[in-house]
Amino acid sequence: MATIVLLVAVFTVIGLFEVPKIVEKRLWRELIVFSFLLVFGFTLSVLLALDVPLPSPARGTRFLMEPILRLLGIHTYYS
Amino acid sequence: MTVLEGGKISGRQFMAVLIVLRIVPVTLVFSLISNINHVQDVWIAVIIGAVITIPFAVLVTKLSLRFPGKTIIEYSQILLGPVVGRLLGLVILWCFLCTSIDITRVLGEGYVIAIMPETPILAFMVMLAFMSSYAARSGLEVTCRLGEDVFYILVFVLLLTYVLPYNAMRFENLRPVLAWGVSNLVPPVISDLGFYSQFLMIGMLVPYLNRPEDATKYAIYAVLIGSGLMALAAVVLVAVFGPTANSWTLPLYSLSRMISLGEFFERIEVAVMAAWTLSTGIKLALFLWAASIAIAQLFNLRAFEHLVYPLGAVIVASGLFFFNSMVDLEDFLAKAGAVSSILVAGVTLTLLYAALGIRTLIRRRKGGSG
Repeated sequence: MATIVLLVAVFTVIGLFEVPKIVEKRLWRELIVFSFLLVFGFTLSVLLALDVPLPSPARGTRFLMEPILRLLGIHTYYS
Repeated sequence: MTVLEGGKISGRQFMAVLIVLRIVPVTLVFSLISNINHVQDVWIAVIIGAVITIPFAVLVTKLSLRFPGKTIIEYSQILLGPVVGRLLGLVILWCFLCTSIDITRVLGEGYVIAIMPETPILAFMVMLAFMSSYAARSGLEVTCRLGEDVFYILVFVLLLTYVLPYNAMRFENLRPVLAWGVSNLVPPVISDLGFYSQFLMIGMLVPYLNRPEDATKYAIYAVLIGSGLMALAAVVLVAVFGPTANSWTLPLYSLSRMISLGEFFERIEVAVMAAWTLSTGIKLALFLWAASIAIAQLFNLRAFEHLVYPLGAVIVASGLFFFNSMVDLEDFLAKAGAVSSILVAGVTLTLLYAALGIRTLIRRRKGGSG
């Protein structure tokens, strides 16, 4: 629970630091992209704090590159 | 059109950040050496990597020079049209983000493995991301000025680490040369080229050079100096550790721990750690800046600096779940990650040059008929 509180505090600080400047300059598109990134980062962090297993894109890349690696005769950690 | 980044950098700063970009993984994991069965040939792999990288760097630079003031994200859209160009831009952005994630995690792992095993890795990753986001938010000029200073520190520390263990060096460890054939060189060359494909960054930096015409020269110098430093590291590591050089997790750090001069000049590993932190910080700042600029250009934004801190947060969080451990990370960087980076860089250049060729042909025909 303490981790979640800390995360809320950190992300609120980032929001409080940037949002007034974005609003003052009337950068609405920037506000949308900023909010998306902030919410995405916050969601990822909360899920990690709650020990929710997340799929790693590195695994997908490994799976896709496996045939090329095999062709080159390179053995991976997983093979 | 609003100018996103108003900063200008010199050719020397451009070269310095490119070298820092390549040398960062060498100071930490040095995948080339950990990825070869018979370490005696690793310096040859470095030379082969440099020979292949020079034309790549020249091609990226020449292409950027054809579109003055435009980044690779912008001229992709000019050459390939808004849809395919944007898709390619998104792929390049993904590569920038993945590199940022990799280096944040590598530095965290390095600290945990080498000195503070009890401290959570998150602490190091957050500090690095904050430091780099602060630099990236200040713009390219600040990052590159810092990058030039860090480059000198890095070279000084590396040379010190190469020269001082001279007592422990046995140059006969470098023999036999090429005894296991060329196939022994494939994994380290792939790993080297994987890291060098990050030189797509040239396409983001050239528009901000104060003398863009010097870009090709400095890009070539960057490859030569970077590869020279790597080849020296390879020779020294093999001369000191012999055939077991590929079994060290942090080879240069382990090498620096061996240095002891007259019982007063010791603990030089602190300097190596400072070099890690500073150079990784600069590299992350550069990639965060490039990713923010890329997002701003892909979504037609008027400012990039507001995106840097949330991007830093996303990178730290992603760094925690992308890889299970240092072994997993190292394996990925040297193999699957390297091959995918080479593919992205190769396909990007091929697509852009093909589109440029077709455009030039159509223009000539139109000119001929008109």
